[in-house]
Amino acid sequence: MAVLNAIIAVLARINTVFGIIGKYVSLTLIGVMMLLVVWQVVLQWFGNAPSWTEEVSIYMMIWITFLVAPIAYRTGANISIEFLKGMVSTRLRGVLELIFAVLIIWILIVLFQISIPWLERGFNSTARTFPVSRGYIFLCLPIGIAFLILAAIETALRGLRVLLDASYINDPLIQHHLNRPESQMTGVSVEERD
Amino acid sequence: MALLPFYLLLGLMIIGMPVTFALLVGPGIALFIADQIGALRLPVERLHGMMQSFLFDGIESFPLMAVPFFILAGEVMNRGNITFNLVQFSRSLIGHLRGGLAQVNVLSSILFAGLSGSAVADTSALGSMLIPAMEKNGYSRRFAAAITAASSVIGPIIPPSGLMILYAFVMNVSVGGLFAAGIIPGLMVGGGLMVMTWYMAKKRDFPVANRRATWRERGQATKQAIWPLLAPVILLGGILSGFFTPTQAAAVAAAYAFIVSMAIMRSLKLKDVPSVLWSAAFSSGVILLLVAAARVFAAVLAPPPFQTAMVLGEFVTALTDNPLVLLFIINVLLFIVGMFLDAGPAILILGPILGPAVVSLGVDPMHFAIVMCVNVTVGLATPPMGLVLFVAASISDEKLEAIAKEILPFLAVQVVVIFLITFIPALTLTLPRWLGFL
Repeated sequence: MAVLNAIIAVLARINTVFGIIGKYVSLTLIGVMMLLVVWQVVLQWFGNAPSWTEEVSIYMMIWITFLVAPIAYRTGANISIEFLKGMVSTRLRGVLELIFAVLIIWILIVLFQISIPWLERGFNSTARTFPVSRGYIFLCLPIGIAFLILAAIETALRGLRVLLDASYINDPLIQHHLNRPESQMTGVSVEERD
Repeated sequence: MALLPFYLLLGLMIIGMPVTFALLVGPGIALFIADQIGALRLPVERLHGMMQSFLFDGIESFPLMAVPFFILAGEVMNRGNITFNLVQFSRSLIGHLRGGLAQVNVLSSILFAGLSGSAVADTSALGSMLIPAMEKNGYSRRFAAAITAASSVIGPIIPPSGLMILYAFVMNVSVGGLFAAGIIPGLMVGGGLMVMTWYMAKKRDFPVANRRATWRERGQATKQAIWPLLAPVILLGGILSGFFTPTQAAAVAAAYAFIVSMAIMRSLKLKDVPSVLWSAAFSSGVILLLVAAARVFAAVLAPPPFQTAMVLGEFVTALTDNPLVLLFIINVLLFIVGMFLDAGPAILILGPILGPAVVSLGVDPMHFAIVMCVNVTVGLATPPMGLVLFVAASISDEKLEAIAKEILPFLAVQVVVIFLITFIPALTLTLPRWLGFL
């Protein structure tokens, strides 16, 4: 149990730091994205909107997607069908969540491995409308997947810890996952949840 | 073999795996099995590569960007208390009727729908304000929660609509056209709910909450609400006239909401801005990853050996060659799906399967799009699993079962509307035709 606790603590620290960085980067990106497109509308009015605004804002949106993904996974914010899960015991549910985590980690590792050569190819080309290597743009995908894997491992280990020792049931992260419908759907922002 | 990925997806979703990941794990396992038995014609790495690149390419789209912007606009309007002014406005108009607050609830949802494209945002914004107010005025809490949940489904039917953007994105239909097509069905749902409320108010002797507002008070309320009320005019006017694209309109709407709530109404402080932006980025990220995963699912399963969508499509068209019968069957299917599955995933997964099959029988793509969107949206409020029911339950602190029972008459109204728009295409297609989208 001591080893498990230590691993969880390390993962939790990494994921928390990523969560903070990811949060501030993505909230900045969505704001800039909005300003870019509004600016595009204004310039269009005067007849000459630069084409790069569109491409840049699209890439910002994709970055947001992959920066948010690990954070959302950790807080259990992804939509799922809760119907059956609500009918089984907490223990069986825990076992199910563990199996999910293993499958998810497996597919993510497959995707991560294949994304590395794709990323390398990206560095050989530049974006259509601005002079930046596509590699830097593609970077969000391996980063997002890597931290998704870490988040999934942390969540799975926390789940395992509850199965081994029921006194950990009040682990806030596990509670997020168990009480998914309410926490996810009331529009409570993530910082309030943590 | 063809249906293996679909069964896997279904199985994983039913036992509760998050839909986003079931869309990746399902094809992953199917590829693994097909590879083991030698059924793949391409090396499995190539197909994995396709999955991976679709995760990125699948959402590399400017039209799709309307989704985060509309989410942001809704978030700003919620936190900036713009909703409050809309409710006061509705109240000054019809608050004096019998069952007035219940009617105000529906009317506010109609007005709110013109600003926001999300039923959940509608329930949480209007519910937190109107449920306590209704209870104080003598309504039962469960009824207040039920009418809030029922009326919130108008949100994604009257434009702007996040759901329609998703549909348009996966099915290549015009967003502007869908927006135009949603207006009449949305008003029909609203009108239907108001008639039902009026009937229930008479039968159950609902309280009369207010004295009738004077015209002066109405003027005052209109003045307070004029900025939020102008938003849909700018938005829809701009999109439908072709002045800007839906994505640009969404960005403008978000900026407009910032300006109104920060500079004009001063209800949103600068220090609240980061948390508003973060909420929007977070919800957008969750939805966009789901979209990406759905695109991966569709892309991997299109070529042999699976051709899942094609086989399922053939199955659907083989059921009957009468489009009306098929639409009926699909409506029942979607309604059942809607009881368990959220609207977004339902559109993303079933749209590409059902859409082409129905269109091949001669149904207009835009007509079917609206039928499908309205149906899965109503599914948000159908027990046992409805997103807005959960939200209404958690806001009102009332049991889900109790709300589910109260919502039944309203669901009946919505089912009637679904069948009307299914069998009278003119209800959806007239406006887009007028505006030149057809």
